[in-house]
Amino acid sequence: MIRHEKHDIGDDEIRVISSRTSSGKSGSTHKGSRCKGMWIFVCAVIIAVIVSAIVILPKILDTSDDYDLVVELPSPTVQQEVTAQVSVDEQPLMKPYTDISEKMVDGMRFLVFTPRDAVPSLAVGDDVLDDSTAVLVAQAADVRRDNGAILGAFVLDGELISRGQSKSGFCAIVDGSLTIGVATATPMLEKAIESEGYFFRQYPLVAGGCAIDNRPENKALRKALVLLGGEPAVILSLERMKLNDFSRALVAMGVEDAIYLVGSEGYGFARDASGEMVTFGKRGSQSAPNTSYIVWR
Amino acid sequence: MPPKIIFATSTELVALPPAAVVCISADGNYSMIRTASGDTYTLTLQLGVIERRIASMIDESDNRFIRIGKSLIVNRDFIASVSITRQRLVLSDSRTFRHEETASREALKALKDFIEKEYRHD
Repeated sequence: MIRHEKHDIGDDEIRVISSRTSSGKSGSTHKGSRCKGMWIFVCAVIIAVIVSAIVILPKILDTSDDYDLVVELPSPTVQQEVTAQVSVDEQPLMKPYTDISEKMVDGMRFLVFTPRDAVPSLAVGDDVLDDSTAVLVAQAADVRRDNGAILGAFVLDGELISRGQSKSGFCAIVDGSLTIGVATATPMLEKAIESEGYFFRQYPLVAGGCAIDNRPENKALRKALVLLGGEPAVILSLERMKLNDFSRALVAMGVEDAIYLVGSEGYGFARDASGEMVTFGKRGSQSAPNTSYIVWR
Repeated sequence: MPPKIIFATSTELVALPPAAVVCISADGNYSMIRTASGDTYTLTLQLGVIERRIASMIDESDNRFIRIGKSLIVNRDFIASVSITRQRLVLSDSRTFRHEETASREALKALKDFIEKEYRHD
C-alpha cells in the first residue's frame, strides 16, 4: 500500500502554534504568495478539463477502437498467469509454504515466490538461514561498505537499530501485516516501533502500479519485494537486467507496489508445499554481521 | 520548576522547557530539536506530530512557536534576522549561540510581515 504523506502546511506558509484549537493546530496561517496558489488552481482546472475530454470523448463517440487506445491493458499472457495464481490462493492450507511460479515478460523469465499462511518479519544475521520453520527468506536492507552498518532506518522487534533515510522506498510490518510504500517520512516507522514490528528501507521500484525511475544502469540479477493482487511476494529475475527494465516488467506482471531487495548474489531460499527447498543467490561463508533478511514463517 | 514540553516515543523521551527550544527541523522520518544550550535531540517523530504535541502542552497565552513551511518550527524569541533574498533565518540569543536555517522566500516574507505586524500592534 502506498502511503501518501499529508502535508497540512505549504512550504510558502507560516503558522503560529497555539493551544487554542482542539486539534492543536493554530488557526492563523500566513501565506507568502497568493498568486502562486491561484496559478496552481488555474492549471489544475485546465488539466482536469483536458483529462475529462480525453476520457469522456471516446465514450461519447462510442467507437470501440478509440476506447482501446485510451485504456492500456496488460498483455493477455500476463493476465492469465495472475488469474491462475489467485485461484491457488483460495485453497485453505494452514501449514506455511511458498507458492513458486514462473512468469515471462517480454522474453525475460522471472520467479515469483508467494508465501502462504505465513507471517513476515525481519531478522539480522545468518542464523535465520538455518531456521527450519522459515518458508521464504530473502536479503532485505543494504549494508554500508565503509562501516558494515545497515543502510537506512531499520526496526527489529520494535527497536530502531539503524537510522537514516538513504532510500525513499520502505517496507513496514505492523501486527504481521506488510506495507510497502514510498515516502521520505512515514508514520509507518513509528507504528513499527510502537507495535514491536519491523521496518527497512530500499529503492522504490513500483508505486500504485507505476514504475519508478532509478539511477543504477548496470545489468544484474534483480530481486523485489512486491504486492501482487494485494499479497506480498518476492520476485526475482532469472536474467541480468537494468533496474528500470525490472520495474517495468513488474508493472507488466500486475505488481501494484514494489521495493528492491538485495539483488545479484544475495542469498535466500523458499520452501514449497512439499517441503522442497529452492535456493537463490550465493551463501557466503563470511557475510556481514548486519546482513538482514525478510523472512516468512 | 517551569512546565516542560515532553516529546515521547515508545523508546525515547525528551523533556524541555519551552524557553530552551530554539528550533525543530524535519529530516525525513526524524525531527531534530535544537536547544539554547547547544544540545540537539533527534526523535523518530514527524514535524506535524511535534507541532500537535507542542500545541497540546503549551499555555493558551504562549504563542512563541511558529511553524515555517513543512520542515521547520522556530521559537520566535530567538529570531535574530530574516533575509528573504538569501533565504536565511538566523536564530540567536545574541550572546552564546548563533544558528542558521533556510526556508522558502515566500515563507520568510510571510514571517517578516507577521513579525512587523505584531510589533506594530505592540
